[in-house]
Amino acid sequence: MSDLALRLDGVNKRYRFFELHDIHLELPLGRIMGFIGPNGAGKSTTIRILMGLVHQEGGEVFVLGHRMPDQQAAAKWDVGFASEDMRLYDSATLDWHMRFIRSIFSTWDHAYAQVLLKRFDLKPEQRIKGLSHGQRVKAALLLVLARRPRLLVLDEPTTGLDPVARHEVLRELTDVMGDERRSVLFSSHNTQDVEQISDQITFIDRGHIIDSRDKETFMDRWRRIRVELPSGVQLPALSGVIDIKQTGRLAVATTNTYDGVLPRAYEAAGVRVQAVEHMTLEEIFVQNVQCSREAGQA
Amino acid sequence: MNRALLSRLILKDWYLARATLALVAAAGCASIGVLYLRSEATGFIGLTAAFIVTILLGVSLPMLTIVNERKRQNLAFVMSLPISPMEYTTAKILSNVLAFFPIWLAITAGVLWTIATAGSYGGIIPVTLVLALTPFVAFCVLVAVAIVLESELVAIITMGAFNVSYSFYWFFLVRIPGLQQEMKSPVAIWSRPILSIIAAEIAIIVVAVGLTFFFQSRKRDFV
Amino acid sequence: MLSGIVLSHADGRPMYLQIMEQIRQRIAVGDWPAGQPLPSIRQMATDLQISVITVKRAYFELEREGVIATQQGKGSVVADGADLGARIYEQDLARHLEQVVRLGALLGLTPMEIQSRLRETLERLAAPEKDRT
Repeated sequence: MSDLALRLDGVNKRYRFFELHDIHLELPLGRIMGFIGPNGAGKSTTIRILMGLVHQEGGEVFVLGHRMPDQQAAAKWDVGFASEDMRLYDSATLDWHMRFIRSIFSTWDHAYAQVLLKRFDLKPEQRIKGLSHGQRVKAALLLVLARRPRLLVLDEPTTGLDPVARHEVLRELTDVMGDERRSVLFSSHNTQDVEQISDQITFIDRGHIIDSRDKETFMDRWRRIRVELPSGVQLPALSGVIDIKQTGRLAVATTNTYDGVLPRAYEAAGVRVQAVEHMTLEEIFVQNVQCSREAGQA
Repeated sequence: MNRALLSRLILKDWYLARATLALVAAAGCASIGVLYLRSEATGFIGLTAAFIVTILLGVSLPMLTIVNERKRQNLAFVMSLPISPMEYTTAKILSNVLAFFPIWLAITAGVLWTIATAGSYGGIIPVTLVLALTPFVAFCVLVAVAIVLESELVAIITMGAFNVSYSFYWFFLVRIPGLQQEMKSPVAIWSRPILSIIAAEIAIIVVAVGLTFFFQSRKRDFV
Repeated sequence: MLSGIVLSHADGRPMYLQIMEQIRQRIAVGDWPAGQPLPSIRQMATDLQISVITVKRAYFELEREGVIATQQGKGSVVADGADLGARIYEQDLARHLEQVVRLGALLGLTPMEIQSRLRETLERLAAPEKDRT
């Protein structure tokens, strides 16, 4: 337990129109976890439970060894939290916020804060009210990054950012990974970002965790196999194939348990394999959600 | 929660309400100044002004520091700090009461002192105190409602209900047997009805704060 | 030590394969000689702005191929071997040849036809040089 940045075990939460079921999640120290799922899947609720802002109805939550929500005050000394629906005080300046945070957290790194101001192109004397959406997001991130917390919990940190700003944020997050004792959990719609910087990927849909494993293993198990059926040959149903799209003599099979066997199995059945392709996380995401929903309805 | 963090949170609330606090302090001084002009007309104007100033303070403080924080989605930012919901509640109550009480006390004491030194108007002191306490009661109830019920609409309705009730309150107050006579006396008379009302007002303040902590401790969804 | 490696997101291959290829290239052309220490896994990850686990995998696979060697607690270095550069190119050639055979089969060519295609290509590419002499 002491080597986990966070752990959720059998967590449940019920709302009128939505329910979180039996959530199990673990993030070892020194890793980045990308948390992805469709809108309304439960990412924000899970993150709120993690931060102690919402009490779970069942199950246990531990953040840096602290039990949540009871010990949330202690935990939050070492956790930097920023969410997409969080706002800074409109009538105050960014500089006021920086001094406010600095007065509370002794880990505030003033030099790094100045570097971030430059990289994020922010002016400290500007009022929050006058900032664009992207600038507000960056301001909130700056306040959280400059403290150098042991755990960063970020809900949609790159949403609504222009490509340059996104690149800067990713750079800061991967810089955090330079210290093996620091960990990051971030949720995002941007599958490319998640694919690029995550060590671990967790999928959530409709209140259930569909999958949670290390990225390389995860991405490696998914393939798209393009085949050509010679005349008279039928496409065999092979285990591990979760989706088939066929038009005429061409077909595309998708598998999430690839181990090199499938192409040979097809060729043994007389089917010509044209290509075996990797899939992007976005393609996997869409496929995963489709399959889990079909399975739920079956 | 350590003292440093608590004081940071309180100072933060005062900073955000700084314009209002400065305005109210100035208006409070002005209304007492008017009282000092020592005529019946200015006496009435000064008392009314002082009353209105405390009502406005009692309304704007909770709206600025509690309701707005939730409405403008600043609450998640505050709760990202190393505090528990109960510590948040404590800081909120303290920042409100510690801002309201000294100003209210100064205005109320100023008014009572002016009346006491104005000659033979002592009889109106008890009733004035009862009236002066009502914005304090309204304030505490509004703070409680704003923190616990989290709704801007409910807070506004609460404010409205109190504002409307002042005239009813006065209506029933002057019908207390013997009060009219006591008010004409040159010396303050602390009758049983008056003292009971003052005790009730203080009790409501204490209960409001107590219930706030009670209901907050039972909340499952904080943000 | 900055690796100077640049990754492409437009490249369809997984990132760890790209990293492996670029490291192999640097070794093959001699920029990273035998014994040269590689950046630590975390340094590389930070430098390239990618996940640690991807770099770990690239290093792991390279070690399996014998291109780099890892000393417990000391990080990785370019493996010793006078012919390491040539060996890398050999592995590359073998991979490409396999692909040629597979593609030929897809097209339905016989081994004879695949060989004649290879000869045609050799002649075509050698021709400009002949013209020059």
